[in-house]
Amino acid sequence: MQVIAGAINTVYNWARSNSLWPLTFATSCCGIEMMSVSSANYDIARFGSEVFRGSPRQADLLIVAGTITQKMAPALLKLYEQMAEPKYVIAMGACACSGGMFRENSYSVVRGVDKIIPVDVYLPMCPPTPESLLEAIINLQKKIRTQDIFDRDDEIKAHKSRLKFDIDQKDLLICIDDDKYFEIEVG
Amino acid sequence: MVKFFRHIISLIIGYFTIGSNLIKKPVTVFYPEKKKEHKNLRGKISFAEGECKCIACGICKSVCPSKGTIKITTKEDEGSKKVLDELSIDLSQCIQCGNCAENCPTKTLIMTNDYEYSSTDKIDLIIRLRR
Amino acid sequence: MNYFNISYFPDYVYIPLYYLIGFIVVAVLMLFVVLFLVLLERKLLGFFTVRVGPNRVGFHGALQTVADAIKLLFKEDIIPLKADKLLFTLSPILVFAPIMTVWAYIPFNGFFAVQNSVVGSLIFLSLLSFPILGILFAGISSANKYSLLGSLRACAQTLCYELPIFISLLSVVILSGSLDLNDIVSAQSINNNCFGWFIIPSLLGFITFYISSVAMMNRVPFDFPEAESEFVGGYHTEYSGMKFAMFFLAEYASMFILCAFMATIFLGGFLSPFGKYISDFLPLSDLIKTPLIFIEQFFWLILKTMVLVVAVIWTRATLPRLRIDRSLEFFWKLILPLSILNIFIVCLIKLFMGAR
Repeated sequence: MQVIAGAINTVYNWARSNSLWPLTFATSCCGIEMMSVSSANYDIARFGSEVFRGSPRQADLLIVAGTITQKMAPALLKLYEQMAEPKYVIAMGACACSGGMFRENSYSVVRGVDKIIPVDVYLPMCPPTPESLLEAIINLQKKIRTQDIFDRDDEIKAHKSRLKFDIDQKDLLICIDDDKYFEIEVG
Repeated sequence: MVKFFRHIISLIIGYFTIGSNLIKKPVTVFYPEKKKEHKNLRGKISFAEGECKCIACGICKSVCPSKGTIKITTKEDEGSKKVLDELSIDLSQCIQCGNCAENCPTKTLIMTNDYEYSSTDKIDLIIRLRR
Repeated sequence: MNYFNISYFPDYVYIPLYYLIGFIVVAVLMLFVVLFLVLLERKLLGFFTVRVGPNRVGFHGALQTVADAIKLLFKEDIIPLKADKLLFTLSPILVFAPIMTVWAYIPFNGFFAVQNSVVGSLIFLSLLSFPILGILFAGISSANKYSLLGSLRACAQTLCYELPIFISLLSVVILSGSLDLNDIVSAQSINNNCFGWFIIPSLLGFITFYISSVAMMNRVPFDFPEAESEFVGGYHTEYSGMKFAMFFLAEYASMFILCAFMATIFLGGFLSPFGKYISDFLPLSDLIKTPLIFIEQFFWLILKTMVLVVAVIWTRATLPRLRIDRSLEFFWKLILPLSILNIFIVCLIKLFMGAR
């Protein structure tokens, strides 16, 4: 029984990791780097993502490329929840990882996209070169290949316990808490 | 009538232009087996090899545009002189401008060409230098 | 069925066995064809745009479609809350099943067409009207305004472009005198040469049939209903998992089967362009030669189909997309008059060429 489950796991993970279909979510400058990854010089179609799907129901990788503002955050959350399981997220660029250069003094930027959705791979640099996005995808493929079918529920619960937002009855996103694990001193 | 044939001829020319791409060599750089040489790339900030030469002056912290990336903690040595305890850089916030490496008096911070440092956990993206 | 001349078993054993073997052949062939076509399109699109398609998965990307199919099999199946469950589940089946059925009517070689009938070509083209119903149901049953609009536009376009297909078929029927696909193929073997094929008298008919069949498959340059920036996927926005895989594979299967039909009625089907077959010249006995000739006829049909499929993929790499009102304008002003003109020309040719 264990042998069969192990074999199914291997085939399932191999198939999933080799055909990741991304969703187009380019908000700002990192979007240009994402577009250049899908062109002829650094080809993302070699890794299996031939088309960037437009509809979230058919995509299984969400590459958040760009700054997320507080006005855009509910839309991002809605798109993430409309995707079909199993789904993965790559936070591309400094603004999506932790707020980037806007972390100190901005009135409208969400400091890091992992306050809203669970992130699988963080990709720093401002902006990341196209080759480092390909390296992040290879990293994600390695992570998928070591996963188990039955662990997905635990992972989702662990991610959800770390999120810090609230949704009121009118479906609006409120109280994005500014994380104070780094004390920001000015001057 | 002449316009109609002109349209058809331009269509045929377009077909042959794309078709001649079949004969050309593809321009793809086959990452990760072959990598292009990037000499002037703004890459990862890292600490210089060898013994720690940092004097905890605080120039890098005041010159950095995204405040909060560099943090310095100091402690008192014997003779009540301030020496470095820990210098930490948060790479997920760094925008690789190079100001810190350019203005460091002891050349502890250097800018490299490295661009492959994505990780699955944000804690791995904080690098520290201790005395 | 009379080839073997063996009569050990009574008739009611042979007939179901014949249909069973036919079904198995068609199903296996279709599976391999669809897997191969998806990969072929990606690699060809890559070569047309100076890059390389998938090359990391198998040997030069050969296992890419297998990975895609397994992934789509294991994805979560989402049905929207306000969607009509029966129609939502029924529409992928309506789009995919007729395409699997029409494989039975094409003569693969002189001996074997799974189900040959006297009105074969008419049944073929009538069965290909079922996907329109499927698209309509898909748009209605997704609880999404934009899906409904997209599916209505797709239906309008597909219904319009069915007309030139039937009119071009009419011109071929005038030339050959019968609707039966076997008779159409044997009417093209008049000169024992490639100059007897029906593409030469009705060249306009071939062009209009080609353009209309590209529109029937909802491919570029006619894929406005499922374009990304206009409708985010149109009628198949709300589908995920295996249902989406059926829409996805139906496009490639219908591409192959329409190109095979075009090769049968215009390009001579399984006949070779030199008249005699290559295996006629081998110094083998007659008993071995006949199966070899049958295999070779099948090979000629696949070769002609592949040439047309590459032409369709080349069109996708070259041309931009037509807006919906421009494509309907194109139809009414250019394609329909051309196909009616084609009938006049074919009638004149048949009158003056005598017993052709």
